[in-house]
This record gives sequence, structure tokens and C-alpha cells, in this order.
Amino acid sequence: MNTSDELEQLWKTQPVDPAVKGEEMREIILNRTEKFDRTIRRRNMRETVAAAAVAVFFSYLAWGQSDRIVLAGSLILVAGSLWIIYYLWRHGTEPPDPNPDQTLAGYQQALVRKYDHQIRLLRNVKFWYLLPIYAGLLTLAGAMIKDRAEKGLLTGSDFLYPVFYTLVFAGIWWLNEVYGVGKLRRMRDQVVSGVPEGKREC
Amino acid sequence: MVAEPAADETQTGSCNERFCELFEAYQPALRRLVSAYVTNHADREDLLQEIAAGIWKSLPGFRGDSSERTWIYRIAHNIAVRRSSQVRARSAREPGLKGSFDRPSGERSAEDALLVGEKQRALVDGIRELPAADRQIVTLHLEGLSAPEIEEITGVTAGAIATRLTRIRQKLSERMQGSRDHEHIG
Repeated sequence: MNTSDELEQLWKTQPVDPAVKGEEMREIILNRTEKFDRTIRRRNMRETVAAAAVAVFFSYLAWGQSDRIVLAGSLILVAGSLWIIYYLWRHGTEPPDPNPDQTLAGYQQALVRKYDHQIRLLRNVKFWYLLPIYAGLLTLAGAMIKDRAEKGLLTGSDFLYPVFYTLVFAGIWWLNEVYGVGKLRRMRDQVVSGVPEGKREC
Repeated sequence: MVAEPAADETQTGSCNERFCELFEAYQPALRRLVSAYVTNHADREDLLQEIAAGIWKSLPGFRGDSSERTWIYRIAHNIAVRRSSQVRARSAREPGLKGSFDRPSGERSAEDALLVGEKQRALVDGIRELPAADRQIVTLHLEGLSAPEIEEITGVTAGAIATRLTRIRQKLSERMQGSRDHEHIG
């Protein structure tokens, strides 16, 4: 068996990547933090502008609208867009990572709780993001189909719009619920496997 | 031991200097620690930067309740656990530091250097294959931390650490022996 000293010697003399100066590392981490914050801010801004544009457009459409189904669809979309803007500004930032200055067991448990929280948030996307917009678009498509049917102009191609929305929303749902949640679950499992026995909460 | 920072020092002035001093002093150990978690060069650099960022953010709150080195290792291992949970599946398929372990040192003959390189690779690979808690304990032990210090960092009792270390050493020795036998057969 290798002695402790031999292992320690092998460990401490292993080749490592070249060193960088402390000042250089400080610049790297400051730039990195700034870049990350900027990315989140820009993403939220883009989504807010898009949701605001949708709200303005469908408010205009709802204004003086006599068709009740079109009015309902437009109002659902306006309300859904405003709700998305509120949700983004209220919950749109990444939750902070647990404080790393604690015992490993405590940190791992905090990390598991964070992943559970993120999984819950991602699973809620269908309710706060997808459902209001999907319901609004589907209502508008229903109004269009009804109108075409009343005029005797209804064809199979009129159903392409709701099918298209459904496919797009199903794709977004899949990305969040299956791919996103699955990835978070794998990360969570990796952390759980490292929590010492007897300290696992799950 | 680092002195307690003044309330207004936070992220400026002497805090910058303290960060630079600490980072440069512990960089070799942090780089070794990183190699126990991820194999790919980009992931290693990324993890080192995240650890440095963790130290930077936590530095104003460091009150000297624990020693500076247990404080740094605690932050480093915690961040490594989080980061490696994100990249582990991917990096497991990548070759890692193979090339650098084969690099002959000027002080040894080429054959000796290759042999040592093989042992080092087997050791690091073996450590990387351990469950996270064992990996933390053994890397801290190999860095020369005492059982009470490891207990302070991991929360695992000193008695349990001693038991685990015996088992881990056995496992690593077998792994290194197996690797040597495999090389000879190959």
C-alpha cells in the first residue's frame, strides 16, 4: 500500500495549470460578474419590451371591439403580458447561490434546496408564461374560425394557426419541463450523492 | 491568520490587496483542488475563477473565527461541489491532464518522470472517482490539514474522518496498483 507521505508527495507535486497574478484574477472575476449581471438585465429587458409590445397591440385591438370572443382573447393576452412583465421584474433574477462560507454538509443541503426551488420555478413556467398567452391566442383563433364558419369560408387551413401555436407552446413547455427540469434534477442528484449519510433531507 | 477587516474596507483598497495575497498564496492548492473535481482545462479555469469570486465576495465577512486556510478550503470545496454537479457528466468523457502528467521533469530521468506521472494521474483519477464527501476529505488530508480542521470544513467528525481515510487510502492504492498492472499488460 502507498504510504500517506507518498500519496501526499504525489499529490503536491502534480503538474497544475500555470498560475495567474492575484490582480489579474481580480479583474477576471469583476468582468465576469459584470457580464453575467448584464446578460440577465438584457434578457429581462428584451422580454419586457416584447411583452409590452404585445400588451399595447392587443389593447389597441380590444379597443372598441364588438366581437366578444376577440375582445376576450385580446384582454387575456393584455393581462397575460402585463403579468409576465410583473413576474419578470419580481422573480426574474437568478436566486443567489448559498453562502459558501459554511460546512460542506450545510452547503450541500442549501444547494439541494436551491435546486428544488429552481425546479419548482421552472415547472411553474407553464402557468405564468405559457398558459395566459396560449389561452389568449387560442381564443383569438377560435374567433377567427367562428367568423369564417359563419361566412361559409371555413377550410382545413384555418386550423393551421391553432395547431402551429400548440406545437410552438408544446416545444417551449418541453424545453422547460423536460429538458430544463431534467438537467436541474441531474445536478441536484450529483449534489445529493455527495451529502454525507445521515445528513440527507431527501 | 488574516486580521479582521474594518467595516468600510469591503471590496476596495486593502481588501483588494488581501484578496490578491490570499489568492496568490493558495493558488497552487486551489489548482490541485480543482483538478480533483473537473478534468477539462476550460472547466478547471472556470471553476478556479468561481472559487476566486467566492473568496472575493466572502472576504469582507471573514472575521477570523476560523483559520484562513480552513475558511478558504471551505469556500473552495463548496463551490467546487456546486460547479462539478453542473459539469461532471460532460467532463467525465474528456481526457483531462493526461499530457501534463507525462511531462518529464528536469530533475528526474525521463523514465522516472513518466512513472511518477503515471502514479499522479492514477491518484488524481482515483480521487475524482470517489464520492464527493470522500473526495473532499482526502484532498484536504493530502493538503496537510489535520482531522479537526477537516471536521471544521466538512462537518464530518474527526473519528469518522480517520475511518474514512483508511478506507480511501486503501481504495486509492488499489486503484494505483491496478493502473500500473494495466500499463504493464498494455
